[in-house]
Amino acid sequence: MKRNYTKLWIAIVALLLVQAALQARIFPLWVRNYAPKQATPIGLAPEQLLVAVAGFREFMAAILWVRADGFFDSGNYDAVLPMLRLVTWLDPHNIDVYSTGAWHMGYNFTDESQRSDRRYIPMALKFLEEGIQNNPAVWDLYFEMGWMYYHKIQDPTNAVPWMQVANEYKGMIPARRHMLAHALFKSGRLDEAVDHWAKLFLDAEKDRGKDWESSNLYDVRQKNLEETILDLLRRYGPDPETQPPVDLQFDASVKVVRPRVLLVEGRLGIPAIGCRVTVILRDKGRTLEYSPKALKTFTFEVDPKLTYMQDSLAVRDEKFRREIDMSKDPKMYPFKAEEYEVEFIFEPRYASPNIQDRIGSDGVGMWDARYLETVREKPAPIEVPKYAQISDALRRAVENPTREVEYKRVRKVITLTRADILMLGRRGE
Amino acid sequence: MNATFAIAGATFGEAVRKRILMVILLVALLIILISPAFEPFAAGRGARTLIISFGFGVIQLAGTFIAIIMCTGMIPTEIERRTIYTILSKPVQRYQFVLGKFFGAVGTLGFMYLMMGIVFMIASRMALGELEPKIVRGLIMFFFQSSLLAAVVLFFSTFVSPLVNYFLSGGVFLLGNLLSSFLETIQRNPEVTPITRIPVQLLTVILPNFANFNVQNPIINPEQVLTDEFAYLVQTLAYAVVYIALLLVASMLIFNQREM
Repeated sequence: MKRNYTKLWIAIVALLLVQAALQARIFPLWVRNYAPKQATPIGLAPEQLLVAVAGFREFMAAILWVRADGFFDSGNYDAVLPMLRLVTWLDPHNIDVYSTGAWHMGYNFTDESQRSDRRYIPMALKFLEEGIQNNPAVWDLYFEMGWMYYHKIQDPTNAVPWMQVANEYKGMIPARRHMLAHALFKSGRLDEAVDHWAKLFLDAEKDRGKDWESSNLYDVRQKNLEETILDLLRRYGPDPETQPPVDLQFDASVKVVRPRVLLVEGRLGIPAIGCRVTVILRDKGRTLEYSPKALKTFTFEVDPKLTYMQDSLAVRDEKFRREIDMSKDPKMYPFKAEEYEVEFIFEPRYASPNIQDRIGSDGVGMWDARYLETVREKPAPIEVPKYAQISDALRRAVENPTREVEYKRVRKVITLTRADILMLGRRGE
Repeated sequence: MNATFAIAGATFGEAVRKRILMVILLVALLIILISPAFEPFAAGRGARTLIISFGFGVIQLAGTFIAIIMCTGMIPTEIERRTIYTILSKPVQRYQFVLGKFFGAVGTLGFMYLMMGIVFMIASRMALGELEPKIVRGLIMFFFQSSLLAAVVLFFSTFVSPLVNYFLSGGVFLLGNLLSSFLETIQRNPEVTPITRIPVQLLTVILPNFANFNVQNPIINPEQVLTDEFAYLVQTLAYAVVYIALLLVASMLIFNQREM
């Protein structure tokens, strides 16, 4: 007997269409919320690993992260890096791994004298950028990126946009919101810094007296707002303390005392404790680009031929002097180039408050006949992921920054050759 | 309908008496129970990640094995033992037989997920000091994932031998887990041509998509902020129901036409 199955066929086709429509609706949400994401824009996703199918993706990541912690505790920092890569492949939503990993790269690779290997900083920024792309709806990594600029690179201008993005998230830890005001102030956007403190103060006022924490937050914000306004009045108001300008009579010199060992010394005429002069030695004509865009794709490989040393020299009795020994770390200081630049910089943005009271946080109260220069800059445009929870106005502002800031600094550059630094020829080398 | 439930009850009874399924369940329960032992290896947040991800991993793996092993032999064994003739000689329609088998399998899966879920909740409570209610959401999604897999296996069992079914169902499960992320990868790659992309897009909407149910990551990483989470969960559950219905209708169609 031949039976008619038309109804069943119709049901199959109808159900097939309904499930396809549902899948088409589910897929964009899946991509947004649950997709494992990738380390690089193009490549294999971790979900394509067999282990992922077995459902142990996050577990494998957690085990590796524990193992990485063990390597970190034992000081085996190099071994931590591939672990970071594996963990974020397997679980790209583990925020701790991105923030701790970037901190590790930015801060923990040092030479014998605890000077950071700054070649790792672009890597740390790239790692954070990847974390942000994979977790656009979480504020933490925007803040970490801002912190890296603010604290490690000491570039408040580029810290501001990242901290502005983090600040638009409702769940941000209240005390961390203060960092945007500090970054705005340091970058010379003084009006915006006061505005931000005032906004934070008014926010805290709403919950004042609710509990100890809220009252404390109110007190801290009130104090910061008042101090910021007072600082501005003292430095830039009528009869400012920053005038007349201090003559820095800045100078610096460098002497090679042994192969790869430099004696740097100089003068900075500020009669107060708390000044620091930055010294950088690098291959001539090459500098480190502190930007997530400096690397096309994430890599743990630093340029093995690049020499880049940065140190901070304390000024006492208007003088600074230090012996910088780069002989014990040939991997960090390979000295492969023929010529090097030794750059001495004093800039007021990160000087202590008592010094800023005299010279201003933008250097308006300092003068130097030979080495004074004015820096004008605006933040580099940043790429905010599509799903970041920020207003369109802020998105436009950080993607096309317009506000330029200006500050003064003193800077002297001395050129040395490879033969000078390695003392080639002097000992028959 | 009574015939369907009678077959479902018999299937459930038969499944829980199967030693292999009980061994898988017991091993899974034991492994979940010892998962708090990971706690000393990672303090705080790390311990939470380890224990919850491990529990979900074990449950998903056990659920997958149980669904495949239980359903591959369901119809072929009845034919081989000739018990199907006894059943179909009574006032039982073929569609009722297929439905009964499926509901029996889903009942067994439900029972096993309940057992594993309770032990998982107890173990995570022991290790973390608090109950994590979001675990239930993950368990429900995995249960629907296994039910969909059971429907796939049952569908294949109407026309292929158990050995072939193991590989076929395993392959579909693997593919169903990979297709979404594969499609996302190629969509983000500007160098991929439509000739490559369109077949993958078609496969993604035609084949059962098991990756939709893998929602454990935000439960393991609670900082995640999800968009339209409720809508996603409802649509995914609706997807499971519709796809299961599709597979059951297709199974009935094939089973009805089969000469016995």
